[in-house]
Amino acid sequence: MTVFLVTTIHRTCINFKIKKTTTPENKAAHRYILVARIETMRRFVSSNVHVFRKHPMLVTQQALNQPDSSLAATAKSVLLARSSCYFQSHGESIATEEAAPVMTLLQQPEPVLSIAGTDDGSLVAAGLADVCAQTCLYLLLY
Amino acid sequence: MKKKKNLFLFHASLLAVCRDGLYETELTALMRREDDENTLPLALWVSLYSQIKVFLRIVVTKDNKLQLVHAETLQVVRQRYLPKNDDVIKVHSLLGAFFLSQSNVDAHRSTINEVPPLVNRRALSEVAHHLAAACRWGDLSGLLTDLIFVELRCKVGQVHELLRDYDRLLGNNNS
Repeated sequence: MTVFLVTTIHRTCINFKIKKTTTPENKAAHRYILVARIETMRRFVSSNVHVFRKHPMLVTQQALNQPDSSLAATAKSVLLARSSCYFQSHGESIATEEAAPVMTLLQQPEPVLSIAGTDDGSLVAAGLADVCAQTCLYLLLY
Repeated sequence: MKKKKNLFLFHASLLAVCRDGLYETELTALMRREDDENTLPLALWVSLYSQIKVFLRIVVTKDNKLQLVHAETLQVVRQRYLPKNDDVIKVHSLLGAFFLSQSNVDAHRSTINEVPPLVNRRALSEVAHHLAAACRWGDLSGLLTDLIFVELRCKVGQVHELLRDYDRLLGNNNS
């Protein structure tokens, strides 16, 4: 009996929650959040038009430099998704603002003995213990 | 006969609702009859095209773009086949979903070590317009706040068009 009662109350609560999420107030709040996000993005794009026209690859970089934390968080997630094939992230250190991102190079069959990067920061070459050289795109040089 | 009439209706509706015409490849892809079909069979398309071509203007490019030639034709199609606002929204929604799938935004998300997928410039410029017209605000805001989408549009030189899309969306939401 008690179990039945608890289940009924639980279901009623769930129904109430579902009904509550579809109220006009919630819709308006959701719309307000969407509009705020779009306005942030519009401001970001319009203030960087001159950069993006010439260097579209810098979109993520510029987003990362924004004071708006949500935009920077989105940029971080984009970078992590893109570089997941090369790097293993060490979660917490990336989340902090002050510390530089700490990541481990993946796909190295042998220990890395030497490393060098190009001046523009787009490529990194690693010399391995088996006398092989390996290059990869280095995205997180920020 | 009925199937052909439906195809004609669909074809005319698509051309009436699109912004500045549709390419032949887009039309045949949109008018495919079943999910396992990639495009409308050529025999059907040729037959349909021969019937409707007097109403069309062909913009000669490498892949011919088709537009309805007269404003009167557009008006008649709208009155006859798209009388309600819901009908127009449905066609916009269909076009929005089509261009969204063609824009390949997700495919660009994690492709560093592979050959990057092709950027569909046309789909990128059209998708926001149709999603807005279809009132799919959730999809549209998700797309316009996606950094990959922003990056792709900047790559193909559509920065100012992107800003116009933001303004249009914000204008619609404020009104």
